[in-house]
Amino acid sequence: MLEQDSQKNNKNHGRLHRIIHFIKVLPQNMLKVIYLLPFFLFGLWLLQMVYFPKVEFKQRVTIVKPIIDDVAFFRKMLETKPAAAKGYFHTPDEYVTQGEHYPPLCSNCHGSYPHSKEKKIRSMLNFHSGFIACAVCHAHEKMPENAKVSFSWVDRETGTITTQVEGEYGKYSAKIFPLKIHKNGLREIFQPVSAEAAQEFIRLKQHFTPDQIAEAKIKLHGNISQKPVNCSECHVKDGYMNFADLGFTPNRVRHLISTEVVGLVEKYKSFYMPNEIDFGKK
Amino acid sequence: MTIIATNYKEHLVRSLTVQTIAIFFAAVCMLFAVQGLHASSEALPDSENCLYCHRYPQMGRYDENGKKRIFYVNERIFAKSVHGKLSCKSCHVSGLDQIPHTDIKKVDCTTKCHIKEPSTNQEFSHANVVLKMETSVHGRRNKDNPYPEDLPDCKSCHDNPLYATLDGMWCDNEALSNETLARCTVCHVRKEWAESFYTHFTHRMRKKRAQKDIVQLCTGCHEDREKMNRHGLESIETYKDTYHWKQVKYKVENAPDCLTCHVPVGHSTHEMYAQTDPRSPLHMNNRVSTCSHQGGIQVCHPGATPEFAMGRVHAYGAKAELAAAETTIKIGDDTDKSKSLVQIRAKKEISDKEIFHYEVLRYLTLIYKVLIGSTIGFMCLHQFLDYRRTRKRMKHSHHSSHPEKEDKI
Repeated sequence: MLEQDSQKNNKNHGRLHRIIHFIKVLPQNMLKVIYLLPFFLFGLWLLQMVYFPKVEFKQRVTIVKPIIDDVAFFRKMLETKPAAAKGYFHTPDEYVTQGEHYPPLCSNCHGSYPHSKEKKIRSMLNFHSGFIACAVCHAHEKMPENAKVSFSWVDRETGTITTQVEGEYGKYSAKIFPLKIHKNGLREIFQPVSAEAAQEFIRLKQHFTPDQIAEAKIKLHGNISQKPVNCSECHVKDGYMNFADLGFTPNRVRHLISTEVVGLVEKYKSFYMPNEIDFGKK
Repeated sequence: MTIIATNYKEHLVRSLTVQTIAIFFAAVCMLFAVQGLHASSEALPDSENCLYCHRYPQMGRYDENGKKRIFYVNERIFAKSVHGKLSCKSCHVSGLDQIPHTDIKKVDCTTKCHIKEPSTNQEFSHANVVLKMETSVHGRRNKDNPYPEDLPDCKSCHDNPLYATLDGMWCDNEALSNETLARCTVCHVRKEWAESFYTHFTHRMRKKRAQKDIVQLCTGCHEDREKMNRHGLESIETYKDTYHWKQVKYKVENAPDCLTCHVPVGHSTHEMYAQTDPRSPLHMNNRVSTCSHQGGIQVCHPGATPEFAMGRVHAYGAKAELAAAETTIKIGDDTDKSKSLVQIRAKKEISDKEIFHYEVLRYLTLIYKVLIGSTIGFMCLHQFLDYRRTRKRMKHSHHSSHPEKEDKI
């Protein structure tokens, strides 16, 4: 006890002594640790094998690398500047990129070439979207019943209903829209999907659960027809749309409903896959 | 009319170049008077009625890789292009008979397109130039290259260019074109034919792209650091630190773009080689002549000495840094393949002297960074302390002194 007291009194001396002792035994202790560590780890591993075999199993399962595993890929898409060479051999002209007064809302999600399902006709359907609004073909079942609906040209620049259309073969100064005609003669462009609703959906999408997203998508597309207008419903005499009323010349109308176009269309009819497959419900 | 005519005559007399060109034209037109008889197939565009669908601007789709494919062809633009006399099937050789087109092969520019090349009377194709390109530094036949998919094909640099006429080349006088063409049609009565050859020559007589466009084209790949690392090359954004670029940027006439030095007179864009290759204009033996650019429209540095020519145009970059760092990188692992390639190339191509220069430059940069940083830092500190002192003093004077009394330090 006396010795301990004196050590306490002489703090500095005691600490130094302890440090020197520690340094002296350090190599010895380290050797011990190095020698014992593998045994210790091996013991842990054995214990884990016996009591927690699932941990071992879990560790072995990894996920196969997906094709696009690079998260930076999407960021890079944003940063990629358009190359000097346009990448298109046949110089695209202003008609490819021309703007319009009522730009199609659908293309925000579906792209500027929205048709991709029907391999046989997708490119042809896509060129129709250059001069026909989406709603013409994709909302025909849901058009308002109490009001009359007609098709008319809407000027690309001014957004006004017009009969003065310049150009030919898809290069028109206007686009065909479905119009809702009220009893008092007021004409409105029929838009099946509300722009505000779509924007709100895009804004809130990340907060939704997968089920909510599915529900929201169905609600958003509520006014979209289950089956779009088929090629041969239009390109036929007295078809879905009155080409003569829209101002096409008699010659052009004859061509549009001719056996040439209809033949082409008829040929594809057998390849046509309906959007909705009825699994014996009816 | 007479005044314009005399002015025009005077202009011709003054401008020897224009006259020479005109004489050259007459000669060329005469040459084709003989050869042209054999140039038979002048297919009308769209004899196959492809425009039935392809004239609609929004025709196209996204392909399997998500790339936007535009299938639209503007027939008027196409007719004015250098390929305007060809039918669709001349290049798109397979899969067109079926609608929708299946089994389409990518257009191969080495295809013989059934137009006879007048000097040999053989069917024309781009095979010659493609072969040259393929064996050059940009070519995919270069088997040493570990990433052939990065290398350019014809379409990476070329679209279907429109014919350029003589107007605007020396003067903005449309009459010049009309008169030159009128001299051709004296003998060659088929105006369409004469016009086609006329536009062909006027098109080839000058560089079509502006200097800035060329820099933009090259930097499209050569400024992509990731891509350049893969090939052991430096990103060339340092070109934009040079006086050469400033000239290009501010549209100085004959300003040096990438091709001025990398493809000087006597070399071809399609035959570019590594600077270690003796055929390259940037090989140490050829650099003096490249800098002087004798025989070009602009003789750039006529008095260039070997010392001058050794100077670096692109500033020291990643390669010198790597060579100087002497770090070892695993070889064999796929991810490190590119980095090791950069290092191997760096060690091979950069001399000790250059590494020393790089080190000096690095220390200079560091000194300047520290100097500027500390100067501004001290200034900020000084301002802050000054502000504090002033505030303290104001507080003090507010508490202790009367408003009548002048506050003196």
